Amino acid sequence: MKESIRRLPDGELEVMQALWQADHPLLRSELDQVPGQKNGWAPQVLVTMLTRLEKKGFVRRNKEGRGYRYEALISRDEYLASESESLLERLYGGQPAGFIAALQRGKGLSAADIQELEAILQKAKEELK
Amino acid sequence: MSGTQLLLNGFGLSLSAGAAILVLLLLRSGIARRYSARWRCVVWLLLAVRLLIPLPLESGILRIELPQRLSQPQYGQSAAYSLPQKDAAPVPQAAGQQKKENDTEQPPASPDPEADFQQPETPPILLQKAGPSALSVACGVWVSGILLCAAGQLLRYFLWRRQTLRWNRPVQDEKLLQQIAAESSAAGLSRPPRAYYNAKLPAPLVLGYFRPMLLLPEVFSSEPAMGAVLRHECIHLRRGDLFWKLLFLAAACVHWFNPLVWIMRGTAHHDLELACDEAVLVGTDTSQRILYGAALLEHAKKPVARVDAFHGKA
Repeated sequence: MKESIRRLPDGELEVMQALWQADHPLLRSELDQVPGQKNGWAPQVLVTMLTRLEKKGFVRRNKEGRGYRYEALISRDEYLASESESLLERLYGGQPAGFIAALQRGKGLSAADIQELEAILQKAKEELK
Repeated sequence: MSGTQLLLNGFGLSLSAGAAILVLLLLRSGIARRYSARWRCVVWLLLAVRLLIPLPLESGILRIELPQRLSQPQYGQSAAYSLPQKDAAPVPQAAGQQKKENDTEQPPASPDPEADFQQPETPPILLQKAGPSALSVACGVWVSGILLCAAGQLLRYFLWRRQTLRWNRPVQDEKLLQQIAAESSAAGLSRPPRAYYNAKLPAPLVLGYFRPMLLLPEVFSSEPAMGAVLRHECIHLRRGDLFWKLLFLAAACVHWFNPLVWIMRGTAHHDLELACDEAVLVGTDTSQRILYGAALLEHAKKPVARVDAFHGKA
């Protein structure tokens, strides 16, 4: 795993996401067709981004016929982990409770609490049978 | 209403609201446990709204009669009016003496009414230079606190949005989309929220005020009580809980110096969640409740910590 993976700008991240989702190396023409991508990329933009990604070591291209097939060198998990460890993420990555409604209730429960709750649930399940 | 009066109203309000919050917190952990969380939310909401209205308590919550307010002695000036009582004797003499000195320069006027008019003049002028500047400093500190607080919160929100939303991947699974539509109409929403998977999230959440989004963790298909969890989030949307939270945040920013208001905000958040749970479980049987409880517990066990906040592909 790389020591410090640089944070990708939005556009390049989208390209990587397409590669990760396909899970195998893609031709440039195939990148546009990955389901779930918002819009296609203008060809010049795509080329630029792929070149930059290559320079950063995220992507490697292998000649195939007249074009290239691009493969991801860094896995999504690796990248997600590195993003989580970045300074920006540490400062502002925590969910802003005042502006969202999340199912997770925060750090309220201790291990003892959890055990107690599991016991209650177990008892309830048994009473049901 | 002057800035200093606003400050003092706000401070008084903060103190009394703080006392009310303490009482409510004690009640909440005691007898009020039996009362529905929904009612507690309403009480918190009323408190938050009251905390945002800068009227002092004497004038009452609903009566907004500003002219009457203005004619009552204001805190800053009442000290001014108390001072002349000490100086009442010397002042007219001084004014009288001054008058005599200036007699040759100024046209003569009847002495008594003028002495009376001159009497309240000098002390407030003295006070205006010495006293209110401390109050206006306090006012400045207060307002700066509000702005800093609000700016910090907003910055945090927008940065988090920026970091997180770029990982959105639209949900395309027909079955899941149908289930979301079903739960959202069961919750009472006119149309279902836009739904996305997001690799950064350990648990589902909703956000957005005008075109809300439902964000799901990538492993959502293995969620044990999927329907109930979706319903929970949709009920948040239908009740406008996100707007309520903004109100609590506003109250906490305005009363940033009062820790009890922040505690109230945290408690209100908790009660909002409990109220949603209550709504989800209405009319369900025990086995469904057990499933829901188990799902919540599973989520509680997962770390919210950002480093571990993703689930890798197998």
